[in-house]
Amino acid sequence: MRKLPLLVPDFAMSRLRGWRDGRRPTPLAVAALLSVTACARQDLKSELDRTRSWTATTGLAADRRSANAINGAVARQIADRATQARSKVQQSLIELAETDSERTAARVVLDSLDEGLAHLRMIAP
Amino acid sequence: MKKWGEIGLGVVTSIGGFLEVGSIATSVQGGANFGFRLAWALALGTICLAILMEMTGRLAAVSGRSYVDLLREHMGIRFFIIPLVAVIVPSFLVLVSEIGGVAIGLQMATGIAFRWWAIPIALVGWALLWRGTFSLVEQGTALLGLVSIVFLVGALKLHPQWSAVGAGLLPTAPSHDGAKYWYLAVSILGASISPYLYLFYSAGALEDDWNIEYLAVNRVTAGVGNLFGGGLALMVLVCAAVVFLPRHIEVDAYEQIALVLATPLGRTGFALFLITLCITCFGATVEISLSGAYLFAQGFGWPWSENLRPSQDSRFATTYSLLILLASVPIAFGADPLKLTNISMVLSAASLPVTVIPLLALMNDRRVMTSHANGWLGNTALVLISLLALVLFVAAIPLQILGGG
Repeated sequence: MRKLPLLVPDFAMSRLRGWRDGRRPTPLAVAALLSVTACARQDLKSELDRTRSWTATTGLAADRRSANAINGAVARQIADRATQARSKVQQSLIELAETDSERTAARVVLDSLDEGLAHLRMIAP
Repeated sequence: MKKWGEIGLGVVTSIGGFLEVGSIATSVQGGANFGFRLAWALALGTICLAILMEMTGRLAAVSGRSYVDLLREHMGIRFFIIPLVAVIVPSFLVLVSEIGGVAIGLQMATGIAFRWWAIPIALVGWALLWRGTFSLVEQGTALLGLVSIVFLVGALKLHPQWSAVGAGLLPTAPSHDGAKYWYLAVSILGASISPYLYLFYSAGALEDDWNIEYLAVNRVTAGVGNLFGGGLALMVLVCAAVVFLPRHIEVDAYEQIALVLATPLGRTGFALFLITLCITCFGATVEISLSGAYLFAQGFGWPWSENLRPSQDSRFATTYSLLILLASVPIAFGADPLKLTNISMVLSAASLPVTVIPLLALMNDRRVMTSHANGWLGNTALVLISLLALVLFVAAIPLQILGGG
């Protein structure tokens, strides 16, 4: 069985070990496993969304700074916040992405945030 | 003629004093995540607040005593401890958030980290409370707060689909992120119906020497003032929905909120946003400090009035001094203002039943209200608000855990 990404309740794990030994899993164990897996999917989606949100924020901030609509201080503060958010989500994306396609998606969104950050830092050094 | 002047001033101060850190943050988050779909929560919160303010104002004008004073007398000191704790804890957190709002506004304007601003803001607020009168504190900050009308200008410039805004005034079930949707709905309601608002209003009626002749002033101020104030909060939500939602920007920091007016109005919009944030949050800072002091003083029977010199009501003055100075400490230590705002709005919503439900008893006590007791319409409205308060009490904390992320 594939390693589970998150902590699974002990009672569910023991039931699932029993399944491998030829016993049927109880509905409760299956429900617990499904809900944990669903949570992991949901967490991955929300982390990807959060990263995309910061990419969009850096894009909008760069655009507004170029138009002189915001000051340099706010542009730099947004860049700092986005950098903090990036370091937070990077670790959780590594932990949550299980398949190759998920890892690729995580890489793509992190790369695009890096690009947005580099652009914003260039405009508001 | 004098009455009309007072009505005008009351309405204007209600509009200028409506927005503060909670209503700005929750409206922006609601608009960014769900477009216009949470407009109903703002409308519902505004209507509830208008009704509660009208009733607590009427109670004060008719009885010559504040709601807290009557609450303690009718329910006894033991019962009074429950609303005291239930109101002072979230109010203190809201106070911390308001100081955080001013501090973050100054950080964005100057580049100096927000934590360095916390103590100076508290000291300026304290000096205003110590030296100023009630009119100066209430009307001065609220009149300056009229700058928040810039959100109306921003919304008009963004050309939203007004039919969609109108449709958002009717509650609908969310198509995605249900927990977050209901969490934001509770936050918006908590920001709109914070207990400090109507407790402050009740005490303010006595500070302004309202009596039975002021019932019309009270009705118009609470109704029209909040209607326009709530309309401004709706414009904040509209701006966020048009600027952030199509770009899929979720608001995790105040710095992002600064972009909301810089998009339709450029540099002017950005500057006015910072001024709005600083002034409205500062106004709320001094009002919540006073509201906390009113709560203690009226509850324990101490002398109180912002119009008295501090030496004449020393315990009252000491309470607001301690509240405002202590509230600056978490911000000085770097507490995240937006996270604090979200938590305090949810706790405000959860604390509503202990101040709303006893009002039902007081508004029907003819010894207190004489012929101005609630009619069936007022009672129906108050029962519905009480039910809403109970729902918020049950749902607020679980939703904070599930949807607060």
